[in-house]
Amino acid sequence: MRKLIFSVVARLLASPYISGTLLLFVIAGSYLFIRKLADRRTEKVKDTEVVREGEEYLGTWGHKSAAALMIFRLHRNGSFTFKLKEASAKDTAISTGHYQWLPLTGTRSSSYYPRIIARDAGGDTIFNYYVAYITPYGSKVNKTDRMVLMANGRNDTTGYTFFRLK
Amino acid sequence: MQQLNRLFCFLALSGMVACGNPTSRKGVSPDELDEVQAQYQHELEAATAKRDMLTAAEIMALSDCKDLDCVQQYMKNLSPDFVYAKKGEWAAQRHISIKDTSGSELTLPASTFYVDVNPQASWRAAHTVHTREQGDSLLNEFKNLGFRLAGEGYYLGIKSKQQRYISEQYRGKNLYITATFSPWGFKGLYQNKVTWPCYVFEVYGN
Repeated sequence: MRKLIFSVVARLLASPYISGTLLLFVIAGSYLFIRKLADRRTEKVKDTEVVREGEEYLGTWGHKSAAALMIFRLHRNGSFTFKLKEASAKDTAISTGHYQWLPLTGTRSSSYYPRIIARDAGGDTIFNYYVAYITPYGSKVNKTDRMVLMANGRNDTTGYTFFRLK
Repeated sequence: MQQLNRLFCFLALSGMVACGNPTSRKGVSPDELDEVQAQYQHELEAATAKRDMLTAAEIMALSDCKDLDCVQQYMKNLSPDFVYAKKGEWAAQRHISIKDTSGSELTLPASTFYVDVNPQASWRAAHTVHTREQGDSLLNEFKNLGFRLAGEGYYLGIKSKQQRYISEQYRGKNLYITATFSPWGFKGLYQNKVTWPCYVFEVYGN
């Protein structure tokens, strides 16, 4: 039996098409693995988030208005930092906590958005918004990445636009 | 074959290595935020509608059109206030919330302009607004163009009564205004049961 399996595998690998395909899979897999290692290393060294497809929400986002400069950061490990520098105040207020990214599951309706909920160490909710828009990974249309947050999940209502910061 | 394989692997590998990470590189510094936000605001304003409905003068201009091409060209110039939905159908980009007769709240395009050019339909081009206030303000615009009530009746085969207005300044043109729950049979926004009153403005030549 063992001999039969070996002979079948050997016969399959003898085909240049199958061995070539396997080789390609191995190359692609190892590339992704190495890239992941390199990304995590970069993140550790530079204290930043390297964003790949499907995790566009990660990273630092900022919005500036006449009243205040708001910056929040969604860390990869689930921690959350919120910085608020009001124009009238000298200090920057910083709150930290943990966030949850709640993506859509099972629904395809445009009436529902994914949301971000952040809680501080004491369990109080400090940030709770729907994500109405987020620039897709590798978008060539938007020169800067945007995230539009909304206080409610309704269409055609005003949102806050945040831009990705370095 | 092996050489081809090797070449292919090399190409694939170099392609993957060349792929950078555009998303992380696109970040701006907090000092640049002002500029980026101003640029974004500028782009947003260029694509944002500034009004809810057509003006009386525009409806009069549209009534001069003899075919769909003319209407399409005219409506194209009204972008982005009005967006093209499909053949013969335009809707205001702006949405409004209205209460229908059962009290539930609906969010709809503020107005529509539909043209039916199908052979079985009589030529019909109508601007439909969805609130009483919009209808009154559009009627006032027409009154400023000299339109006066000329009659009321069942014109053009529609179930609701229509008011006919004529103007000395626009001889040969008739303005029909209808408050109805069936502005269009099975078309676009009005495909399902219409539960809110629509105010339909139509202008035709004699």
